[in-house]
Amino acid sequence: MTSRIVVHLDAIRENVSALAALAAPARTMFAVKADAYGHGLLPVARAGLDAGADSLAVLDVPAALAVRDAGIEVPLFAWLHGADTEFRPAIDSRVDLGVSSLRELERIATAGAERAAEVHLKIDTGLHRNGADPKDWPALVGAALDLERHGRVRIAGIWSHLADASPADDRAALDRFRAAVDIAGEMGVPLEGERRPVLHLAASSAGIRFPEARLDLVRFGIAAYGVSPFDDVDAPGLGMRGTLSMFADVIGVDGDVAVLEVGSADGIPPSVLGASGRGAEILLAGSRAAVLEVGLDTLRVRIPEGTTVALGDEAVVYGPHAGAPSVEDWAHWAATIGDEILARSSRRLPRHYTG
Amino acid sequence: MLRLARIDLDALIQNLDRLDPPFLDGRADAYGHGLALVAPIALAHGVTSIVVSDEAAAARSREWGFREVLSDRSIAVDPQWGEATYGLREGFSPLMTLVGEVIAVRRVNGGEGVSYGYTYRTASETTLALVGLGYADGVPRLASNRGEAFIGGHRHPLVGRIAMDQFVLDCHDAEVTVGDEVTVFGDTTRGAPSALEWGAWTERSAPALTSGIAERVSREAA
Repeated sequence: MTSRIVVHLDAIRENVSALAALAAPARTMFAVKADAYGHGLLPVARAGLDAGADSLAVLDVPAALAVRDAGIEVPLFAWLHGADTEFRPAIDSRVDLGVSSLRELERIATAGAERAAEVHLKIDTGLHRNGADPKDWPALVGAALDLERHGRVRIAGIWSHLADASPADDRAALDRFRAAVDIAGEMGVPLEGERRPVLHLAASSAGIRFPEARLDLVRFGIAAYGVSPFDDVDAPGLGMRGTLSMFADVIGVDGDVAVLEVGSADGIPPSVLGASGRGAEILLAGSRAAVLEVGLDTLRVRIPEGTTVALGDEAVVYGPHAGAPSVEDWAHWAATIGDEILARSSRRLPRHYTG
Repeated sequence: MLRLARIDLDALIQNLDRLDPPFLDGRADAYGHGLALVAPIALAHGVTSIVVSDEAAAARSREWGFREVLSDRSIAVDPQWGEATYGLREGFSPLMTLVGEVIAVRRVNGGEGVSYGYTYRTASETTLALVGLGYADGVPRLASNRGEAFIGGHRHPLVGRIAMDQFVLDCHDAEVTVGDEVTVFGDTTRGAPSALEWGAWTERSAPALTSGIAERVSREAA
């Protein structure tokens, strides 16, 4: 079986390096949540750190501890916490924690850790997911300052996340963010000097197109994985390369139909053939072949006219190869975004890391 | 973080009793239910043939004691047996209940945008619940502004774009608390959406939905 996923670490490094150069002097935090967008956490984290990122956004405490266990010592940021999240090992392992509420702050401060927890206080600037409501912000900052005086926490950052709804909406969100930072400053959080918290707001979209939002650091995710965060330009147009390829063997030939050895259980979205879908193609024998059916374990594709296909031939489902569809193409065909195609890419196929 | 697929093995036994299938369709890790949970039950029920996706699953199946083991993907499999076995057809009991937890609750005014692109705006003052599941868990993004999920006896619409690790429910004036359990699908006897409904919302078959539930969601017999 040669059906497989290939992760192009050289492309990850090139993308991260280009994004880090663009964001400088702001620093680059590399987002490796969801198993590094489906690429595999540790090899991809190391590639990004080699290329100019100096911290990692890992989503949650278990992922942070997995990175620490692998011997990676850079700053780590975890911000999505459940009712059963144990904060003590994270604090003792120097994992920076996003904090959205007094309740989370209390749990972190009373976790029994041996050192002060490094917390990044989150203000909601319009996305309405987590983050403190502006009316609750002074109470959160006040409680954090109090705990800081008692050596339980250190206010290491103030942050939020943009909705990418429109430039005007993002500008309004930046204004709300600045207002929250000003309130923190008036309440006694140092905004100058060595102990000043890191300010961060931008992910890929604003990191590329909204320089004012770069602040102290940009959390780059999807662009580093070779998918454009914009509708009006693709990744190659941004100078980014695709980072993941899926190859599938031909395991059956039936007239003008070929059967490939991957299916929806490998993350191929069946919605390409649904009401919102736009069809799909793969690269087979040098030509594009239309997808006729997405099964659990197989794809049925129309063999292109004038080509000969045999058992064992290799198709490119997606990836940065001449003539092959990209992850972005699949996202468009499936009425979704490249993030979902990557995050769901098969864990059961063999995986090779190159470059 | 609660990311859990409960697998109702009593429902499996009921379905097998009614169906008496000629083989267990164990493809794609038993349609995402966990072959290791499902296969021993089917075997004890007298099902001695199994279809699986690959040689690794075939080897395990032989160890468990299946006598006839097929792992050749080029041979088409009639999906109706698997759909019935896992309760993904009308008239059979669903096995999988996908649950997550509420990680934040906020009260907002009318006219407020929710999640990326502000594709949803609240109609009036309402309670929004943030749930710690997203498309990386296999909750397809197509369910944005289409799907529903269930908390404490009520269904609530899923509003705004589903993100990689989280989605938002508009709970209106319902009592919702951080830490509450959220049922995405399954547990239909209590009123939660079914995998079939979720399949329709996300433009895929119910087996494609359940087999797409991610590895970071743990499977637990219930």
